[in-house]
Amino acid sequence: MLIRNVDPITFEVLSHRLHQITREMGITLERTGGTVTTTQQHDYNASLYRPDGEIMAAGETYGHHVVCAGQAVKRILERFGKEEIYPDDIFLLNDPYLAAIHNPDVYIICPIHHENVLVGWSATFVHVSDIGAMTPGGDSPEATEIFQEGIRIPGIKLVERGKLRRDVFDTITHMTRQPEAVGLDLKCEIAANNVAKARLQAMYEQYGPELMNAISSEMIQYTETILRNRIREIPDGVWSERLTIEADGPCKLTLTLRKEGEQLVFDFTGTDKQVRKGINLPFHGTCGFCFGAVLYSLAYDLPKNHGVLRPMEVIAPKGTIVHVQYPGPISMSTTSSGFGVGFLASSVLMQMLATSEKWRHEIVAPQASHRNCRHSGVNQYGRYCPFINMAHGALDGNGARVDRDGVDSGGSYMSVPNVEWMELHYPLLYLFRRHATDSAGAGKFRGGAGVESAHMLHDAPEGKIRGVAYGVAGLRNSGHGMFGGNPGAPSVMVLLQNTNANSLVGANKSPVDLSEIGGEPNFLPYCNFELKQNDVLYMRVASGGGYGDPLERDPERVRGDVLTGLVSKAAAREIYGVVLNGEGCQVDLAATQAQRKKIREEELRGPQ
Amino acid sequence: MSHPLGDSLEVYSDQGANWVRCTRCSHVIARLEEHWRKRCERRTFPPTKAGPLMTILVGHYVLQKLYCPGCGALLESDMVEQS
Repeated sequence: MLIRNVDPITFEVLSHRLHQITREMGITLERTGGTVTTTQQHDYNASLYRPDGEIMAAGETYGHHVVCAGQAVKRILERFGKEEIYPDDIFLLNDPYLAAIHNPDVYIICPIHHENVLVGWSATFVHVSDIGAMTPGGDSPEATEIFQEGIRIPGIKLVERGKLRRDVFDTITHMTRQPEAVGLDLKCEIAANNVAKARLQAMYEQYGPELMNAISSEMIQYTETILRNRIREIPDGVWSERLTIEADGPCKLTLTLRKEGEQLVFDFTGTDKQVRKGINLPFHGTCGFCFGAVLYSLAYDLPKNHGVLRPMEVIAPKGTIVHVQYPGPISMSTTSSGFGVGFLASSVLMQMLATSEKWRHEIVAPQASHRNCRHSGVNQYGRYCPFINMAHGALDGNGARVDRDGVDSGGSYMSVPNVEWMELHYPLLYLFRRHATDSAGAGKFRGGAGVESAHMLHDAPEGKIRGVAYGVAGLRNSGHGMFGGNPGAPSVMVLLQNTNANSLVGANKSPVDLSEIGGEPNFLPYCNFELKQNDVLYMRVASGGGYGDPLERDPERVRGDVLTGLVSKAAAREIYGVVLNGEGCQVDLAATQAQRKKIREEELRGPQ
Repeated sequence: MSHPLGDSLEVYSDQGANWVRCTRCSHVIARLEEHWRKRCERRTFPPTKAGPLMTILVGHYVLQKLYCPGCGALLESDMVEQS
C-alpha cells in the first residue's frame, strides 16, 4: 500500500485539487498580466510549496523554475525567519546567486497561513518586460559581470500584512525602462498568489490541517516511491552527451548519467569553465533543468512535486558554465546553457530508456533548442517598447518518437502571438512565417518541422529598432536524431542588410523568396544589433530530429510530406529514396525499392 | 541479462559475458564493456546528405553513419566534428 495515512479517494481528489490551484494561478497570470510575454507567450510558472520549501504541487510550465522558486522560498525563510513572516506578507526575489536563474525572471513568493500557522507557500515568476540591465529586456550579450545585468534583489517584502509597500514597488519599477508594464507584471503575480492563498486556505478550512499536511506529505512520498520503482526496473548503466555553445569561442557542456539501482546521478564534470558572457548557469538552475527532464520523461503522469527530486543527484563543478561563481554574468543563461542542460539531461535519459523494454516506447528524439531575438524601440504609436520577444522558439519542431512523427511547430512550454497581433503592436512587417521545407530530421519517423520567418521594419518613427540575439548559438542546436534518424536543420538568425524587400513591397510583390529578397547576410552570434530600413531579419528555429532509418519510412508518408511542402521532391528521392511521378506525386514502388537499395549500397561503399 | 539497446541492438548474456548484437541479423558486434560504436561499419558524408539546410555545417561537421557489420542495418546517424 503506497498511501499509508490517507484513503486513496481523498488522496486523488485533494491531490488534483492542489494541482488545479496551480492551473488557476496560471490563468490569473494570463488574464491580468501586463505584457504579451505573460498573457500570450506564457513565460511564467506558478507552484505550491510546503512550509519548508519542498515542492508540493508544481505548475505545468517550466520545470526548472519549479525547483528555483522552491529555493527562493528557502532563501526567504533564511533571511526573515518565521518570526518576521506574517500572514498576508508577499516577498520578491530575483537574485540568480540565491535562487533565480536570471534577473528578469522575478519570483513573487507568498506565505500561506491557517489560523496563524505557516502551512505552505505559493510562488510565481514572470519574465518582466525590463529589469534595468544594460540591454533592454534583460538578456545582455555584452555584459561581463552580473552588475551590468540589472536590479538584483535578494528578498524583500513587497506586500506587508496585506498592504502593498508603495515605496518598494516604486523603487523597483522606476529602475526599469517601462515602469508601467513592470508594475502590471508584478501585480499580476500578486494576484495569482492571492488566488493561491485563498484556495489553499479554503482547503485547510474544509479539511483541517492534519489531513492537508498528510496529503501533501503523502503526495511527495507517492511520487518518490513510484519514480524509484520505475528507475529500479531499468538496467544500470552509464550514458553521456555533449553540446557546444558558441560564445566568443566554443563552450563545451558535458553530462554523464550514472544509473545505479534507484538513483540517477547527473554529473557535469568535464564542462568548460565559466565565461565572461552571460551564458553561465547557477547551480540551482542546473538542478532545475535536470528536474524538468526527469519530470517530463519518467514522472509526467505522477503528482508533480519534490518526490521527483529525491532520487536525483546533480554534480556540477564550481566555476563551470553549469555552476557559475560570483560575479559571473548570467543574463542569457536560461535560453543558452539552461536549455543546453535540458537537452543533455533529456538525451542521456532517452539513451537510458532505450535499454528498457518497458520504457523504450516513451523515447522522444531530444532537442538542443534554438536561436531567438528581442527587439526594443519606438513603435508606430510613438511609444517606447523595451521588449518585443519574438518567442519563435515556441514554434520549434518536436523530436520524432518510436512510433510517430514529431509535431510540426509543436514548441515547448511557450506560445507565440499571431503575426497580425505582432504587426498591430510593433513597427514590424512579416514577410513570411511558415514551416521550413526540409528542416525536419529525416527518419522512419521524421522530426517535426520548425518554422522560418522573416520580418522587417514598418512605420518605425526612428527608422530603426534595436535587437538582441540570444538562445543556443552554435551549429548543433536544433533536434538530434536517434537510431539512424537525421538531426533537424540548425536554428539560425541572419540579418540581411540592404535587401530588395522594400522595393518588392513597393512593386506589389510578396517578398517570400529569400533569393529575391537578397541582401548581405550576417549570421548573428550573441550580440546587440540594429534593424534598419531595408534590413530583414530571417529566423529559423529548431526542427525535430528523426527516429530510425529514413529508408524505412512509409513511402506514402513521404508523399504526403511532399504534397504539404514539408519535404522537397529532391529530398524525398535522395534522403528517403522515394521516387514520385507526375504532378500528383504518385509513389513508384518498384523505382523506390531500387533507389533505396542503391542508396544503401552507395553508403556502405563510402563516398567516392 | 537481456535488454534492448535502442532500435536494432540488444544486450544478451552468453558464456558468462554480456554482448551487444544486432536484432536483425543476430551478428554479435561487441562485448558490452567495449564501446559497440567502435565495432560498427562507419561512414562519413558531407552534412548536406542530411538535407539542403545543413549547408552551414560544411567544413565544421560531417554526417557520420554507423551500420551493423553483419547486415548493413543503419544503427546511428549523427553530425560529428570534422577532424
